[in-house]
Amino acid sequence: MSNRPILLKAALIAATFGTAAGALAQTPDRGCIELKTVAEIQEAYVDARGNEATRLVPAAKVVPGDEVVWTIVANNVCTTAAGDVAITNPVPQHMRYVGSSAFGPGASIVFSLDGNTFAAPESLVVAEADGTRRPARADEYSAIRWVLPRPMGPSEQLVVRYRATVL
Amino acid sequence: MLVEQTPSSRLRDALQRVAFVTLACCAASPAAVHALGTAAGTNITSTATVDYSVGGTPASTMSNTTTVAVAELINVAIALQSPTVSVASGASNEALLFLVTNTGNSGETFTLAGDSVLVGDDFDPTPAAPFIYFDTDASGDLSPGDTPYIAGGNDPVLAADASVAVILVNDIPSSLPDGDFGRSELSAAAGTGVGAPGTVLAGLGTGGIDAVLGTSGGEAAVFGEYFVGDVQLSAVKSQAVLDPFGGTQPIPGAAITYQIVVTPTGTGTALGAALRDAIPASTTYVAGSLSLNGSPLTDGADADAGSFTAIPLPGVTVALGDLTAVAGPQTIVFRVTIN
Repeated sequence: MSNRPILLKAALIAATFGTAAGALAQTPDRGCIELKTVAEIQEAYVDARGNEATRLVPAAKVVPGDEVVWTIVANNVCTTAAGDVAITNPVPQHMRYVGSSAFGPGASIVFSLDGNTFAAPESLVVAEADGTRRPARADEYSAIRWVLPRPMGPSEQLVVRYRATVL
Repeated sequence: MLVEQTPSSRLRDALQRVAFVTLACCAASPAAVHALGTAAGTNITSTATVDYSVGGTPASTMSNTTTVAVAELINVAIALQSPTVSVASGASNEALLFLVTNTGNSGETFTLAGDSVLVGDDFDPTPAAPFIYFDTDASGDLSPGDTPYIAGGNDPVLAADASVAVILVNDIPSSLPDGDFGRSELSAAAGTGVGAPGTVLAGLGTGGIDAVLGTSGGEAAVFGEYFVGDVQLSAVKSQAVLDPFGGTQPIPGAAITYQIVVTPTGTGTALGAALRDAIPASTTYVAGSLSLNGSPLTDGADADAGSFTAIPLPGVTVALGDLTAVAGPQTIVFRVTIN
């Protein structure tokens, strides 16, 4: 009998928490998933043992022809799982997506030619001026989307990446 | 009609040379297209978005916006516009045409230099004075309207992707045997700096931004060649009209058969000789009617020596190869109909 009030209290806390999580999701400036974009370039260097190696360094400045590695890091900062997670990144202006460079563990990757509709590479078709249709080339993609087919758990981090060349 | 032993000093018709060089120029220009680059000082920005749902409520968050600055790229390319120039021993003011292109992404001043003492050839051409000219009148050859280059005085200032046509002028030593080659080289160097590709010239770009040396290292050098031979090509053109009634009246519907006989004379070899002839106005080329020495040639630009092109102006071209006097007259025939 003496346990009962404590159990009730626990139930109350759970109910309050659920409401708080719902409110968080609806607030545009404080979502459950925090997103960070990083631009880096691959640099060749010689390691301590004298071997040639490469590393990523911040892309402070680039010139036409350089390849930039774009990394997007998503963190679920809520204590609830997030569903229907999709990260979208338009290929930046003055850049061209490098074919097959998109990467995201566990995510299915789709691309867009117009920035609105997304599909797998084999489903993207370009209509030529003469009416013929051909598969789209990777350098014609205007946006990339990583779709996570499972919920993103609390405190989980998701890292996706692609490369693009400076025009 | 244009007979070429590659833009040769032996041809004295300036108009013919202009026509040839224009073709050479336009054929080479697509290569410059890829040089287009994002302008120095441009900021490339990227912002990602994540869509998700929590407890069935959709939500969306944007990332920070990351900015990458495009530095100044210093790059230059030189393209030789003249095929090997056939010259006679002892000839003077023989021109080689080059195109200097700023393949960087910002305006740049270039200094030019010429060098005729090169390895790998049979003789050293003698630089004329002045040695380097701008092809000011765009004739493709040395002409009175061309401006001599003065180092430090009129160094070309080229916007990103802009080009300037430059001519090297050499005299050919006397008493050279036929078949000798001589080389002369044009070089260009970026005023901002030269060095290993990838070198960063901190703060030296336009407006104080960093400049980076491109694959050229900010400098380029390309040589052209002279080929000694006193061969001359002459061409004689004749025509025969056949009207629809079996007569010879040049009326609409009548066919005109043109015959051009190219004859090499003298000593040496005319390298890469080619004949070009325009289809006269108000006539239409008869498809498949081109032949060389009695052998039919297809109209396409393919393995055989002949081709018909409709653009920019209709005309036929026949590659005659390396011609010597021994090769004898070359007979080209084609037909047109009067519109």
